[in-house]
Amino acid sequence: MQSGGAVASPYRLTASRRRWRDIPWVLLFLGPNLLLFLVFTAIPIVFGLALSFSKWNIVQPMTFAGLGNYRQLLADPLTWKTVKITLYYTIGVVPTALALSLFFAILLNQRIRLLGLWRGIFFLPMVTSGVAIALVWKWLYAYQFGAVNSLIAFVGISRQNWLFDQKLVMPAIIVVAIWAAMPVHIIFYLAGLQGVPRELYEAADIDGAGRWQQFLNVTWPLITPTTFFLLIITLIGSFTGGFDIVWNLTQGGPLDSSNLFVVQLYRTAFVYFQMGYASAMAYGLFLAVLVVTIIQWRAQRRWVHYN
Amino acid sequence: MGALQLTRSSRAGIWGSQRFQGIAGRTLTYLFLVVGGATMLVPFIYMLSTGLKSGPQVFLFPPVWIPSPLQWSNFSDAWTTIGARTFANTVFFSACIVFGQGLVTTMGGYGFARLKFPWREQLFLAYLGTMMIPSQVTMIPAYIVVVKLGWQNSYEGLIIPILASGAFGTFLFRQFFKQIPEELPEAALMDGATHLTIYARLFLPLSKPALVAYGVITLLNAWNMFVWPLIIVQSQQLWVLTLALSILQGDLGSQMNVMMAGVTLSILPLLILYIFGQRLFVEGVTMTGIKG
Repeated sequence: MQSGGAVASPYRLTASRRRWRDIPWVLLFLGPNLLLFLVFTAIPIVFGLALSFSKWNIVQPMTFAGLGNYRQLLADPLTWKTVKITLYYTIGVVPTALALSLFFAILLNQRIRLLGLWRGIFFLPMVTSGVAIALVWKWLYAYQFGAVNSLIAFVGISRQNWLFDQKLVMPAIIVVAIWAAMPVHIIFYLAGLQGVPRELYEAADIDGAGRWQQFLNVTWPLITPTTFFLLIITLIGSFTGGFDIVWNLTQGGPLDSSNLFVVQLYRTAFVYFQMGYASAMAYGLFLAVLVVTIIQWRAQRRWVHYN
Repeated sequence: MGALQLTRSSRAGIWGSQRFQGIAGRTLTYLFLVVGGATMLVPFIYMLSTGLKSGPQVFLFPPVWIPSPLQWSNFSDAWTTIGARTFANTVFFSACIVFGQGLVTTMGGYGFARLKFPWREQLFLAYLGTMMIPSQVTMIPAYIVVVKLGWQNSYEGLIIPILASGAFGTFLFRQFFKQIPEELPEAALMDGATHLTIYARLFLPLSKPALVAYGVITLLNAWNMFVWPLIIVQSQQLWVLTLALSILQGDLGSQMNVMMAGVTLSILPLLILYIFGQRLFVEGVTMTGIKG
């Protein structure tokens, strides 16, 4: 009995003392992290919300505006125009990027010659900046000397002014965004495909299933978790991203026809210095992202297969 | 393997047609790969080819794909126009972000995984919660904090707020460190080792693959970052490559060959790293789940 107590007590002592004993270490290990988190993340989130209820251009004193910014945001036709363009961008990019990536991931998952080289080529855009991508594509789309116009001349289409035509500018941007998004999507689909057990394909082979049937009955159901994950990140990405490419291709033009919500947000904050209004825009964006993500989360059990 | 052979022999009757299907399928696979691969490559080839053209060759239609003569001087022109300082700034900025964020996130991860303190789990949940919030929400107030600190147009303003975007990294390393069996650090602590030694001698070496993958993706993001420098930097002294190219596109619009040489130079370091370490980039993407 006695020896049992003697063994147990140091443990109990350590357990109760440990709660506070680590504090100096906590300061050392978490101090810088926590300070940065507080100053540049936690406080800004709260401050940004407060800012969205005020009018402020940094130079003059801040004034309280109540729900004024949000009312203005809902009433401004430009808001709805930029929302519509963002939805156009989303619908243009997300399904096509996902479908093409899955298609090429399946090809890159086969036993092909020079596999590393092929994958290297398909992943290549990943290493470049949005700025570099935009500048090169701007030159590809150039009216007089661009390669795109030379390519379409082959099939007998006359040259187009891709980035200065209100109807063509969004499709042109969507192509760039899909091209830029492919590598990361393909990588995730490849990871997903590698998780599909070989035996299932062999079993399907025995049943005499064709390639398309194999895809429908084996591949697609088993990679729905990957598709779900990609859908979540690409929808968030298309609501909040695209700035680097659009800013360097068109700055939202011509006549706001490629003005994504985030481009207008940047302009409101850092060109017009309407910090309150821009904060209200940012919080509106946050709300949209939140709602879309919650909807997807709810809908997942209808189509996502988990084993 | 046995099952597979069995099927093949039992279906000898349709063997021929299956083989034909196989050949047709493979041809189709390669056809699609060539078309897709070409689409991925053409912008890069066009960039490099334009970057090597002489002035008059830039304005040929249809475009010439293999320039002659090769005008290598475009690259030195681009280097001078962009400025050596811009390249140095980009290296410095990226290095600070990679090593700074590496240090802050691994130490933070160790803290959350291994140290005991009140409200630890609640605080960790707060970190997780902020990851859902779009960067646009924090960007504006963070800029105001920078203004209040007097850090506009300075290296501090450029670098330190980006170090703070390590909530995800902290989460990642916390998860990683949690997987390391408890007995190891406990035994070391009993032997009188401090948390700092355990962190530096045990946890960091054990998580080397994760560190490298996270480092590569952080480097990628830092090197290619555009919005934050655009907001913070006003003078040419502080230009990074993305900002320089974006600003110079007006001036160099008439010298597309120099412009494209500049773009090539800007992506070259990461391109070389990618050619030798494709695997690291792929691991980084699958591990962090995000890019850009």
